[in-house]
Amino acid sequence: MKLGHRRRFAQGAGLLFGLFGITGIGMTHLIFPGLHCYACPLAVTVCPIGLIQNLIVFGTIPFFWLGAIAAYGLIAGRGFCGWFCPFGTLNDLLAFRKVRIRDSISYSKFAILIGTLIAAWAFADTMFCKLCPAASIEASIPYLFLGVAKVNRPFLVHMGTLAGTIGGMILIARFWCRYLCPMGAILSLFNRVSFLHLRLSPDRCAGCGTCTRSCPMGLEPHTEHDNHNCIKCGECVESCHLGALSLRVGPQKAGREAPRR
Amino acid sequence: MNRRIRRAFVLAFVSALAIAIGGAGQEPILTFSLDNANLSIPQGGTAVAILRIENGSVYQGDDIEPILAIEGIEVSPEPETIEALPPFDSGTVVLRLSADEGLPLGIASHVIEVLYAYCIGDLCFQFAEEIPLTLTVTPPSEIPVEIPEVLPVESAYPFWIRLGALGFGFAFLAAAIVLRRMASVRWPLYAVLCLFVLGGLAYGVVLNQHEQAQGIGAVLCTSCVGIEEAQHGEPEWTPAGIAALETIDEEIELLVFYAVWCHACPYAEAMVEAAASHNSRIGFRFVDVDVEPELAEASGVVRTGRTVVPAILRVDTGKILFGAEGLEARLIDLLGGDS
Repeated sequence: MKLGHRRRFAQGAGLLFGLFGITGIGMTHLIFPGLHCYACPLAVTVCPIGLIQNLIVFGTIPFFWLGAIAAYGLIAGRGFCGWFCPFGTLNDLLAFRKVRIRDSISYSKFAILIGTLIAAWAFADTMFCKLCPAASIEASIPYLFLGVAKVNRPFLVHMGTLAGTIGGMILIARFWCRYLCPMGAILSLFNRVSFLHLRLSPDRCAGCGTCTRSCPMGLEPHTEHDNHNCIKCGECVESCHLGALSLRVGPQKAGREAPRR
Repeated sequence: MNRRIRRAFVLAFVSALAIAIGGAGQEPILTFSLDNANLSIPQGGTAVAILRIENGSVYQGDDIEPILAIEGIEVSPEPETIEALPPFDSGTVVLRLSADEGLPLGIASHVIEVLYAYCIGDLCFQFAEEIPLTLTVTPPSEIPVEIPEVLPVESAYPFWIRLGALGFGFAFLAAAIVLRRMASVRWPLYAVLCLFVLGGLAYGVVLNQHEQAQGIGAVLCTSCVGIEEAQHGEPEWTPAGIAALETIDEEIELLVFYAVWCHACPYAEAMVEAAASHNSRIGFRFVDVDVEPELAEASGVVRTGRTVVPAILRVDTGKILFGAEGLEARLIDLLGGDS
């Protein structure tokens, strides 16, 4: 099976896992390895960003959360963004313009993460959830049809952030994942140690830049294969006719490989 | 430059997390335990119950007042009120019980209600905790009651142990990262990360945090995800609303479903309480959905697997209101008042 087909299959599995409540199973103890609103009527897992905000409000030292997040980070790092996250899949569906990433701006997602944590502490409330576009799709809209939500100011704010995010996604491929996702920020901390990783064979790389044109995150995979923004989607692996890039599972070597030219 | 920015963000993230975990919000901060939850008291005699109070948070508990009201028994708490319990401190209240001679024999369950408050800046939270007490009334006895020595009780997992565990975890992680960077030794980092995963999950399960996560996910607080705005104002009924309430001439029982961490719930609770104060035919009971999930499910406040709070159920008709927005008009409609 082609890598691309495997990824579509995994993304489908992620979507099914996110909506597994359709089987009648209620909320479980699991934390989702991506951005997926736990308020979604069909969710069976807890959103990591929603949960950490609640734990901050509760004053709980989040051992269970840290253990789960470290597990996901260690397994795949941002690979979950490329292979599993339903909101990442939506980003993929709207990835029409694979423009180059602005690396310094991409740290804005850390600012959003830090702001989310501080706002939860300062206001004793889940402030990020009130703006989260994933919650707009997965909670606001379904609950409108279930008769719990109404078209009011919070609903319109949700629709506004959703419209802005979708607009961003159309203009810039994986816009949310590149610049805004707080879960992506957390997982990116593990990108250089995660078992799933992108590997470069320097001898085979001609530096042609084909991989760069294929990367939805706007990276140069042949020089930035261990970049914190890499979602390990494997688009570059498929595009490289020389087989210089590959997705591997195992401990990563320290240091960066560079093409020998 | 990029590396500096990244380091700054990582440092800020860790700092924010450290600051944040020291914070607390609308969550009970005090834990209570009774030295003797099964107490015996002779007719015409006395007994002593010792209530121990632990503050495991960074906030000060204020005006802690235990209330125990039992017919035929005079209760004298010492002290009557603990005005302030500092962070991470503990306190004790001795409840002296004096029974009437004519008190009926037998076993009965009672509840010690403890009221307290705490504030984060200008934002204050009030709580009423209930501690069960089983009281056995025995025939008169000549044996004098011995007052047990009041000793502080250590919590099984004090806050400083949890904080220390987290600190050790991050310290080992930092050391392993340095080793990987400086000496290109990768196995210590993987070993520490594996320990971080296993230790975090295991200790989290020991502390019941997996249940806490499941509980948070299973309950939909309408204001938390932005389905409606949280109401923080005073729950005031308009004169027209009060007039409509006064027209209700049938006995109505309401169940108000709430969660302690739900921001919209206190407003809904207070509105129902105020409605009941204007018309004595309106009865109500507050139901904590985390404590009575079965009742919530049986009452229909569960929507496709989520318990939605706040929810107000009129028991005789089964009609339910969700949320706290525009509550006055919706409550009058629910109660059948003439507006």
